[in-house]
Amino acid sequence: MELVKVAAGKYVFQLGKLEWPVLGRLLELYPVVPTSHHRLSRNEAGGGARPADDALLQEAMAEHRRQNQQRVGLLLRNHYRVTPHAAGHRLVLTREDLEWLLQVLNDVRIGSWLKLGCPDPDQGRAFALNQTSIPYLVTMDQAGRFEGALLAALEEDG
Amino acid sequence: MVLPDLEQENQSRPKDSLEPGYLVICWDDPVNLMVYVTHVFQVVFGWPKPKAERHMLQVHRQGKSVLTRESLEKAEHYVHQLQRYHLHASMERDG
Repeated sequence: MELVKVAAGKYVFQLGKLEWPVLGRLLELYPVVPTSHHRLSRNEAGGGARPADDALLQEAMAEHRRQNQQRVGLLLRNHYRVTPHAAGHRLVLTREDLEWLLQVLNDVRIGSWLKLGCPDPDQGRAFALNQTSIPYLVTMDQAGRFEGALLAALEEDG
Repeated sequence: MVLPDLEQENQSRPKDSLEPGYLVICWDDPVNLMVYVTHVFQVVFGWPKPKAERHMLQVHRQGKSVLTRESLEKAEHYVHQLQRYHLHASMERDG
């Protein structure tokens, strides 16, 4: 996935023949992180936040997730923004689209990591390579790759 | 239109909720990309890249970074924004 040009606030990306189907599949997985994952404080005493504040956060995240899901559906069905091209597909995104797409892809990445049991080799929590874990590892890797491409485009645009 | 019951709402919040006594902290995790974390700090706080990178590196090397000190409501707002991006962020009472 590479940025071709930025014109009139629109980012035009070139995706290889397999990239759009892969990106589409990743977006279809959204959401992966459970809303119960979100908490205001790490401190058991709440760190100043009340239990009701955690509930509000989770409610806000659930609403945000519904909106993102709608946007994912629109993007996947929008044939003006995703068009076939000799080398694969062309994808046209606004700056705002880039931002929510980053959030969606990172949800898929973090959610896959949670499903793997939060492996952290530096802390001695290695992941097991098996038939169950490999799809999550591949999903994490691919989501990260697309995130990197979007961030590179933003960097290139300054 | 139903107006919020401000008096009741104010009573249910701690007295010091308007004081900047709450820290917004970002914690290290082994999964978020460094370039992604830098980007999120820039977007959420409007920081220039060097400042965002400094905090990202502090998270990475020291396990956490205090991003800002705010009132209860502002701190909650920032934690909401950071968690939209799935950064490991929390708010803690200062002191």
